[in-house]
Amino acid sequence: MDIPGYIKAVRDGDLEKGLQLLYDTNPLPEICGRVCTHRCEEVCSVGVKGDALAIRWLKRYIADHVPFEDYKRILGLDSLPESKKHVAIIGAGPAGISAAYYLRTMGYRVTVFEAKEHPGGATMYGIPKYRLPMEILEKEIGLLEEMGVQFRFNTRVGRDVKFDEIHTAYDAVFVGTGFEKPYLIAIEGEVGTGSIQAIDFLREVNEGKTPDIGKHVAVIGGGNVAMDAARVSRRLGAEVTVLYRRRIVDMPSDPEEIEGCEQEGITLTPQAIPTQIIRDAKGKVTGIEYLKAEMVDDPRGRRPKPVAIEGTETVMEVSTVIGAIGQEGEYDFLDTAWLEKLKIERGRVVTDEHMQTSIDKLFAGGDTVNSTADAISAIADGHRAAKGIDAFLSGTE
Amino acid sequence: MIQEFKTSDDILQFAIGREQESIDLYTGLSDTARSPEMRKIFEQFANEERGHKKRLQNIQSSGQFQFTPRQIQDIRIGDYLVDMEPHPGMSYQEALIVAMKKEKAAFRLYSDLSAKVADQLLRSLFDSLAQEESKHKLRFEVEYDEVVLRNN
Repeated sequence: MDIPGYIKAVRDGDLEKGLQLLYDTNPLPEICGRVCTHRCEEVCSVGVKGDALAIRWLKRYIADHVPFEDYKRILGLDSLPESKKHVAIIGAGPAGISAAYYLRTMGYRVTVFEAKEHPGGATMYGIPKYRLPMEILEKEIGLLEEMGVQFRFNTRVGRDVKFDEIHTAYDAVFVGTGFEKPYLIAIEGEVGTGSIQAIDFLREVNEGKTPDIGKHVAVIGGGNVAMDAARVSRRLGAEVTVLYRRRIVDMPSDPEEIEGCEQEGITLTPQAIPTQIIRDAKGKVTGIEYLKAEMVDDPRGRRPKPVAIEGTETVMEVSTVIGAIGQEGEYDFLDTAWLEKLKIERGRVVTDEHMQTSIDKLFAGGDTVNSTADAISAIADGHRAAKGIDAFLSGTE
Repeated sequence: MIQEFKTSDDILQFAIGREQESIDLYTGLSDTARSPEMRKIFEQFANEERGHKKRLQNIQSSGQFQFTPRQIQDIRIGDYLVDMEPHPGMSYQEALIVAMKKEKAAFRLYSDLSAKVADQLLRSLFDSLAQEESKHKLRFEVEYDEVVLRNN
């Protein structure tokens, strides 16, 4: 991504040029302008002498200030080349959307299969609306529809349409189904009402529901999903405590999300290892027990490990426990014969540098492949896969 | 049970039998796992147990045994997790929990036996086995920490 280029475009007031530079590598700049993990700012050389350049906000500034009706003209999308080759995308998250956009600009016909009612994947269902308003997402997806990308929503591959059929009917297939199956906290008392998973909770709230979480909520985890669940719970009126096994400095969440939690009155309890969820005779959650942890060095030089200190049991009264320790992928849209051929390691699909998997004409990206687990790396995967698919279909790979 | 361990050979035979039980467990899970990835993972676990068994057999056949006590880090992740019943649809998380629990149980067994024998050689052998099991447990706990608890 030409970051200096679009910073210069902002400085020069040439937002059309800035938009073109953004779309060269990122077809979701309005989303990234709001919720990107902005790792680029961590390595910004200006940051050595103070604050880094607000690269993410500049991205948002460009995307927000160029009228949407001008996008197609500015980006040269009014007249796209037309290929007879047809690519299927499974999953309308950031990786799939990115692959769809770039493949379409190359002239390929593109059909996106999405199990849910709306596109966006984790950005649509997992990020609270105060961070990413729905209309932003719809606007950027709308551009793809105007470009001729076909979307088949409410269509779960493996259930509503067989992967076999897609693999046979299309010239190439891209999979970006993401990580949606939550890891269990795996402690006593977890199973039952009052103990819920953050991604389910956030999805319900984004769908307009108001889950009954009671007055005191404990959120388990330290990533952005945990921070989102904590802040949404707080905004539903609950007293919220985040229990995290390591130190605050180790939290994988964006620092601003951690600050946001603190500003909203959420209690962050680091070095706390949950040991059981306590229920009354009727099965209602009444508390959570945790042990305090000490950090011990890892002899292999990896990050320090939290180790529970015996005798430090602490019980906190809560009405709901929200698990947010992470997610894993599910590949049940593939039957066993396909799974036998697909190389998967530690839950992630293995690809080459072109994002091609071990299955002929099948490409993959996003959380399905990389462990960075953020939108911008998924978008980059989708872009790389589009180039890989183009090379594959044009016989240049 | 303590009367059964009169010689180091008794202990080694017992430990080899336990390693074989682990091999059988993981091989069975590999045979029945629905996911090919999990089949491979269980096969890897079974191969590791084969390595442990081979090591014990080498001690048995050579009669050579050296034990240097070492402090093995115990990060105790498995201690607070619920037990998991192995099943064909197990996830990687569940498989790691099964493995951590199994190594923990083996460590406890050998540690308890060590505490109950008076003979120094036998005690040393039990301590060696306990140390090995604690290393195996740590290996699975580190994996759990890095994969499952990455955001926690």
